[in-house]
Amino acid sequence: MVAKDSRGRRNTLISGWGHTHIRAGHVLENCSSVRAVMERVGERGVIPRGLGRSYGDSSVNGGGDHLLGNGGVHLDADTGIVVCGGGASIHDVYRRVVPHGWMMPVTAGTQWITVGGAIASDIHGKNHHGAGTLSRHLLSFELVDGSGNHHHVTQGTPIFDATCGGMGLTGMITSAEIQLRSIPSGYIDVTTRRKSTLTSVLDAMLDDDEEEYSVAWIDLAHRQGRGIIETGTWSGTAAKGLVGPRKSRLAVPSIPRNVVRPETTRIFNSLWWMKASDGVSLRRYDAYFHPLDGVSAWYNLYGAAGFIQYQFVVPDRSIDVVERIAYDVVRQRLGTPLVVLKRFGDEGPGYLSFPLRGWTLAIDIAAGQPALLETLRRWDEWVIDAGGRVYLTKDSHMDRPTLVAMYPRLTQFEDVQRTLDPHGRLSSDQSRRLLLGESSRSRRGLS
Amino acid sequence: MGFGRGRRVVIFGGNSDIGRSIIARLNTFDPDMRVVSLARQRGMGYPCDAEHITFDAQDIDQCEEVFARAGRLLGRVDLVIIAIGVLPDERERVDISQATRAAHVNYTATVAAVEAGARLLAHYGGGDIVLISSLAGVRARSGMPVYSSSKVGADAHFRATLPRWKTANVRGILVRPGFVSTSMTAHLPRRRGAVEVEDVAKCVVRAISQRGRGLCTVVYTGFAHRFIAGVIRWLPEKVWVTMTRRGL
Repeated sequence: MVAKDSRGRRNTLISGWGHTHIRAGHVLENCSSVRAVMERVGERGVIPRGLGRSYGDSSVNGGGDHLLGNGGVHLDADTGIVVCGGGASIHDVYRRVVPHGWMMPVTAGTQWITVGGAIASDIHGKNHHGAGTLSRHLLSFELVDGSGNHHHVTQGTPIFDATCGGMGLTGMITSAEIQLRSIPSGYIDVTTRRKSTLTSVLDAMLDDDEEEYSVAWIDLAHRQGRGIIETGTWSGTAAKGLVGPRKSRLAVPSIPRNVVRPETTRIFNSLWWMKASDGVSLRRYDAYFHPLDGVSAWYNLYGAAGFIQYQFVVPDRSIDVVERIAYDVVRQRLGTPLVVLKRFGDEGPGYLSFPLRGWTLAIDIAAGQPALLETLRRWDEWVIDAGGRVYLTKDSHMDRPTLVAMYPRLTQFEDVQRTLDPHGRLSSDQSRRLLLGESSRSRRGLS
Repeated sequence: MGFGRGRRVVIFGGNSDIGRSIIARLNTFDPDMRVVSLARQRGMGYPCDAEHITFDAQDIDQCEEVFARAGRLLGRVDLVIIAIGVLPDERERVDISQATRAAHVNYTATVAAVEAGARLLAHYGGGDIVLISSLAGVRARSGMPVYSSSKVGADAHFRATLPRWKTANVRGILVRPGFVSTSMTAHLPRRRGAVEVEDVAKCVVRAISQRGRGLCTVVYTGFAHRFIAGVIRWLPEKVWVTMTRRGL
């Protein structure tokens, strides 16, 4: 029957968070032996997959296998070192560690990612300018490579540098040891400032490098690109709120048509702007770090065609590229309610790690707009000229030359990747698109 | 394929005017696309990276193997376009050998290609399959019984088989253009409301880029054709036969 593949296994529809790339494949979970999975992998290969929050096709392997990790969180409450299964979600980690006064040192925009996925993306947070990426706080991890060999990986080794940000192409992370940071409470003191132009937002954020957390929401439905800056520090007033995170109670149902249009965006952004007020407020940690988790399945707002996120980083000297791209969004009326600006600190050791010292802007855009690809290509050129790069976890459109121009340490990554996956078993639709690990696959007679 | 870039396309009927036009239009949005063309003979080149496999539509026993070979050449397949068809001259008495050849290409070979194309897409995790049908595929006509009945059959098979491929993530785009000015229709007088191949390509590419969640998207070249298709479906048989006797 067509619902099953040649090996008699049922197909499942799999996509990234943006739902622009939906493919059928097989999900392998609760596997007792990752080595056995690697040895039995089919022609289309296998990719480790977490909770499917990467936006494009990096965790999708059309027609192939998707290997889910196992969970489990063990905390040493005295030292703040947590050992988690690669398939444990950040939500699971919070539930275990926050009541003991510990917190993940770096958090992404959602708590619904796995530890393995967070390492493979080398996630950054609102505190990158001070704390760096997750890999800085990662003491060690266990990796099963494409040949089924087991590695205990520590900082300062080529396998560590290739795996952090390596998009799962070096192997399956089965467990990880992370140094947490202590927190006095479960609340953040949030300082909110509204700025009427993008230039004033950028100027103000330059002075925020001493703040622990800093982020700005930009209204690109507004001609001047006004924005709301939020800086935060852990509230030390009382040891309250040390509880696990809340789950969302709202979910967006499936909608066939995109409702995120320029008109609706302008209304939403105006309301969001009016709702914010300058001053200091106390906010729960999960509401501060993961505001979008308040509504689940929000990708449905973009309709059947889905959406993409364009997140790029440019060095400090190229601040004009941030403004050029932002005003290009304004000029084209792309309808982008979610535009987030952050400062980055120093580059990490990961060969394909995204951050570098400078500015990062993330823009959510509805897919299915005919000229959008041309726009993205134009932005890519500006970013390359500025010495910047696009985040592979959000990428869904780049090609090989663009990748080569953006990631100067790509050769080092591919040298290590070839030794870890000599048979070309680890592959995703993104890796095939970007020809990542292509030499291993072509050795297998695949492409 | 990521977000609309670097598509891998297999086109059966690679020399058809409509198929070539669709490839050309897709290429304007996706310069990195790669194409394998299946056709009886190597035609004019494509604007993008393309390879050719010689394959006669009548050779249906080889269909699945040829599609699989195209898949191996591309490494993966995101889009299959089936643009084969023969328009026999049915204005006078129909030549039987010509009629059976037309029926074979328009129905049997199309069915084989749809099944092989869907299987190929399923192997690579799914994708879109585009069938170039016709407004004649809505209801058989007295003026062109062989062409229209075979198109009706292929059209019906396409819609009937797609639900079987749902879990394999294969979605269909069924294109029902009206009279299109192509080399196949060059011997016929141009009709009112005739469209150009570029119009068909525009509609198909729009359907591909704005794919809905449905299993099968039916594409017409304009609202008038959609309206006409609705009317055709509900006309009483007697009226329809009278209207179409003269080759409408």
